[in-house]
Amino acid sequence: MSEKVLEVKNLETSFKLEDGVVKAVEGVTFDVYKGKTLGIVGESGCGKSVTSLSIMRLIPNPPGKITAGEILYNGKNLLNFSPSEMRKIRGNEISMIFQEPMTSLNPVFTIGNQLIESIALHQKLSSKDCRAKAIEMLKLVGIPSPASRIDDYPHQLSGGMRQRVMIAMALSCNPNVLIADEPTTALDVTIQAQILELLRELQERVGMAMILITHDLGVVAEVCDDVMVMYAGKVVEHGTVEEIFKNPKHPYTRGLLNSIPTLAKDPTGKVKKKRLETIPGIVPSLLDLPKGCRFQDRCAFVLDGCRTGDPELRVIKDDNHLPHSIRCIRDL
Amino acid sequence: MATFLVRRILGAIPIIFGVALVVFILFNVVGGDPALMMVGKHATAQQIADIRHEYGLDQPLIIQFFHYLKDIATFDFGRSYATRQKISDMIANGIGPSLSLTLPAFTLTTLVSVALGLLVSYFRGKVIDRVSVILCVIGMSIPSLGYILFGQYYLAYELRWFPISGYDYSFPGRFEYLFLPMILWLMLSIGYDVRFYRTAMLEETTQDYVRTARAKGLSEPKVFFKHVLKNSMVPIVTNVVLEIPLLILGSFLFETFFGIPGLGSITIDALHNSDFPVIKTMAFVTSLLLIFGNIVTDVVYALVDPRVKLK
Repeated sequence: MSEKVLEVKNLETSFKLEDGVVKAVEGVTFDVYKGKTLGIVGESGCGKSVTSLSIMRLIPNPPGKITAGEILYNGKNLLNFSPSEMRKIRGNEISMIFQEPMTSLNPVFTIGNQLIESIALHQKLSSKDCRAKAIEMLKLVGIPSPASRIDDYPHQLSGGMRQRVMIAMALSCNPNVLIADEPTTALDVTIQAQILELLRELQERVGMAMILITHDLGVVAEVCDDVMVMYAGKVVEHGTVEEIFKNPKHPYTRGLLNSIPTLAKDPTGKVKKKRLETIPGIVPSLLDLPKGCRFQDRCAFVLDGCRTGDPELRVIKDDNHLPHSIRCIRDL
Repeated sequence: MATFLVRRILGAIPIIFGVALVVFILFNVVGGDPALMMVGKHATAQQIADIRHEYGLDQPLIIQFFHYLKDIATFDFGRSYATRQKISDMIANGIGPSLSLTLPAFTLTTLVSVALGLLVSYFRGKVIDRVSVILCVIGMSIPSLGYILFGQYYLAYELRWFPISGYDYSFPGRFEYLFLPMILWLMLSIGYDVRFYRTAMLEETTQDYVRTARAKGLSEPKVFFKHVLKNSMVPIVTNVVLEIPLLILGSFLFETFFGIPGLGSITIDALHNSDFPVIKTMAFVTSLLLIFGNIVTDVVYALVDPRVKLK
């Protein structure tokens, strides 16, 4: 396996709310490898975005704060970095793209201005070279006639094009890690495929590590090497994509896999319309978590033991670079 | 842009017509017989009839309205009942003193408020921001008369730093009299303005593009003074440009208290004297300024925000 670029250890990020302190992310541990992609999966509010913003140290403070853990980038703990050291990391070594391409670009500056700003910040280039580099990046992400498009304002571009600009911006300084926080959620399905293909292609070309945050397991299967499933702020299942798609062990992961629509054919060759399975209930509020396993109220396999102690993450199979671990007391 | 302007100006014509109609109905129909107002209680029937004839008030309303429209088109608003001066001359003479006060006072207030608004929103939640909230609320809570009395009694009468009131038509000389009202204007408006600009800027700091700017590795000052500031210019510019036409009308409050012979005090005097032609003219001119102020605001909008297209 290739080298570790990013190691997150026991990350805990809390938010101070009016009704009390909640831990949006608790005990999250994972590694990201050079040239590989880690998928983080889960429903809204499970802590995926908080995890990624914690790595960038962009958690709005107040109310948020990283309260425990380590984030090692090439062996150095980012949590000990001064604000100015951190600014040299952001956009340069670790870049991020967000889920809302419509609002993530500043509406009153041209895309060129915003792209050049990034390049000029981290690279010692003349303003002419910065512009040339910006045009090159736009071309790389597949924007037609980049030399004239560079002077467009964001509102003159479609959502897919804007996301391409965001990607160009994120990749303009050749980062070692790219965090993509639901990069395709707001886009049409056809554009989704294009953007994912683009990300994969660019990853191959520059060899960066990628964290892909999504709630779409189909995307994970296609793009990722490793996958981490999160539920209510904790990791519930973690392993290689191959292993987890073949042997999902946590009831929540199984629920997620079952809720992907499929078109199965019956023996006569007719398309059978199967009723789409769902996971009953909703994610519990972090302010009012049940005692014991956080998934108990929605779990079909719940035992009495699930209601007393919060299960630890345990390794169930260790024959890979990444052991397959689950946070569940049952062996399904 | 040019087509936009032509169209908006042409579009303003029916609005101006409507305003003229409303003003005419208010003053000539609803407001009672202007001739009776003019001659007072003890006039003979003959005097009233003479006045009616002199001002064309004995003609049918539709003809009177037609005459009024013609007067508007030629900027001839007739003469004041009280002073017998031509109203167009009164306005021409009043604009100078009014603008001498309002323009510098407004510019000063806006510059200081925007600067302070930026400062406190940059330090949001810190001590300087909290202290500013308290000061702004105190400032907004003191009635305007409080400021004027403080200025005239304490600064002008007790300390003799400024003249109490008056005006001098000579050019630099007038500012000796205008200095105190300008400072009081600043004190009066700054509390509200700083709060307004602070809110306008803070609203932007939670936007997604601010997160993107930080994720690039930009420093806080750069995020704030480039990305946030340009976006918050839209509400700021609207607030400022909408005020500008009203500056021509002067300030009722300051001109009255400080004896500045601008349009504000002309209007107040006209109200005291039931000087209907003057009040009517001022009502019409105010509407006209607002209509054109709105057009200017739209143009400035497009200059600040590239998403706004003027068609």
